Amino acid sequence: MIEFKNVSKTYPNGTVALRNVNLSIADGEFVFIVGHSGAGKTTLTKLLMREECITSGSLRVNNYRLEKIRRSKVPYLRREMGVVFQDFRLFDNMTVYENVAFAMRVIGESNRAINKRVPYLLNLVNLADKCDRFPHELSGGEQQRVAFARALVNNPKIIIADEPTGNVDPQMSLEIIDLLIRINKLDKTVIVVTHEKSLVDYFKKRVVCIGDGCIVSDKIGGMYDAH
Amino acid sequence: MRISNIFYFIKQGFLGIIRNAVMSSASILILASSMLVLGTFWTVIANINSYMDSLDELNVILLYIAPETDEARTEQIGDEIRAMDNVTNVTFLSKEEAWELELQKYDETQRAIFEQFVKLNPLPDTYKIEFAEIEKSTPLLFQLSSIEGIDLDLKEQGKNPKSVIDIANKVESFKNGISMICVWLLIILLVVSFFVIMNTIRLTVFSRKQEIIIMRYVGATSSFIVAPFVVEGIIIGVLSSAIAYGLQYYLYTYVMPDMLGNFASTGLLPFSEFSRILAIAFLTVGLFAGIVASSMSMRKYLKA
Repeated sequence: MIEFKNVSKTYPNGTVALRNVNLSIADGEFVFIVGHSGAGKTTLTKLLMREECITSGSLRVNNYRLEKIRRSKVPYLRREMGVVFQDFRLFDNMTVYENVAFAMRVIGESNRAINKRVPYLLNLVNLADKCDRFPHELSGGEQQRVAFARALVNNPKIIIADEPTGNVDPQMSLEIIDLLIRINKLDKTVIVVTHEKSLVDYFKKRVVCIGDGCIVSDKIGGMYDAH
Repeated sequence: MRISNIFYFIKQGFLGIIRNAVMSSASILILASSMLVLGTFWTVIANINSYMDSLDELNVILLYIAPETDEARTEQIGDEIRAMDNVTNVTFLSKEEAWELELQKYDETQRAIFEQFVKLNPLPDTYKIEFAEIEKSTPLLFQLSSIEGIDLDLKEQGKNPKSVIDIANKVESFKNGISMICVWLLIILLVVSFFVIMNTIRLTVFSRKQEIIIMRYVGATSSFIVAPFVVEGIIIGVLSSAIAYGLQYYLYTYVMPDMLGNFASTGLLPFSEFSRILAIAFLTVGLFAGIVASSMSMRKYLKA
């Protein structure tokens, strides 16, 4: 459960990124967050990750109240989410397997758990046969699937994908969103930040449109230009 | 904490050092040099202390009695001295005994010539006063100089009572001066080493910034992120102290005796006198500098 109540965010340089945002995302939902550059989409995801603090209002992610959360609890909040970036952010000096295993290693999982979980995830994203490859030996779409495997490996309840199709071709974009829909069917909440109109229109999911830091529209089965 | 995590931290710590080999080597060398300077001063001061302890004659004062003072008063003076604070032993040396002792310094022919002048013996009756604490020697000297019946001519010349306390005091202040220089040098060198280690770790942290960001995104705790860098600091500290210890042993055992010549063969303390304390001190300084510098250079990256 994600709940924004009158959330505003003003950066120290005075830029107002979000104004009185009210938004509620239930468990297991699939939501597209759309809007032009500088609308406040990225700030919204940064607030969810507690990379930035809200200026006013209240923000709840599952059992965490983000306006009150202690710094020592932030890592545990982040373990409830898996994040995928436009630029994949994989380690060039690690194999596909090691990249995925790294996410488990850093939260202190045992080798046994890692050896059991990583192959399952690589199978899910159809990369089991490429587990020994390095990222530069993979296509953009494959790299993005590695990033998804890494985001999923710690079994988070929420998946946040920030422009996941930005660096891949249109066909691969469709496959990535299709993968996200499959992930959503595993009872995960999926939030996709994008400005790709065709994808949003094609999949007809809930679409939240942000403009100038405010929610302009919020429609289930909506279109990019629904407002 | 899992064993596999500990291995992971150690592996990452070594990798960090290898990735920044030049800066890591610089940190190790600077830290080791600081420790070596500290160790050298330490051994020098320990040797000076030991040498001073062996200079018993420094704690002796000679008091000359005036020629006109009679025997009864001379004895009384002896009693007065014995009653004084800090005095441990008083020996009376009559002018005749002093003359005998003086004559023993010459060969037989010279002695025969001097013996003709025995009636002209210019040496005074003397009290040899031994005392315990050099720090309390000034009041003792004052008390002795106020005794009635001592040789006033010598007193006016500043030779009665006669002591070598000045030399002792000079050696003491020299030792204190060296100690102060040692402390300041140590502080300066530690600060320098500290910043070099901080810079080394910062470079490592910077080169692994992306890794740290992803670690944070997937929910790694601060301690998990910091641990490999602290291990890196520990490795730098331990290597530095091992190198410093080895060099110190070599310098003290093989180089210092050559430099000091004859003095070394008689007075230099064996290295085993310092081996344990130096090992502990080096390791403490190395670990402290390594851990604190690495933790401080990580602070910025741990803000959630």
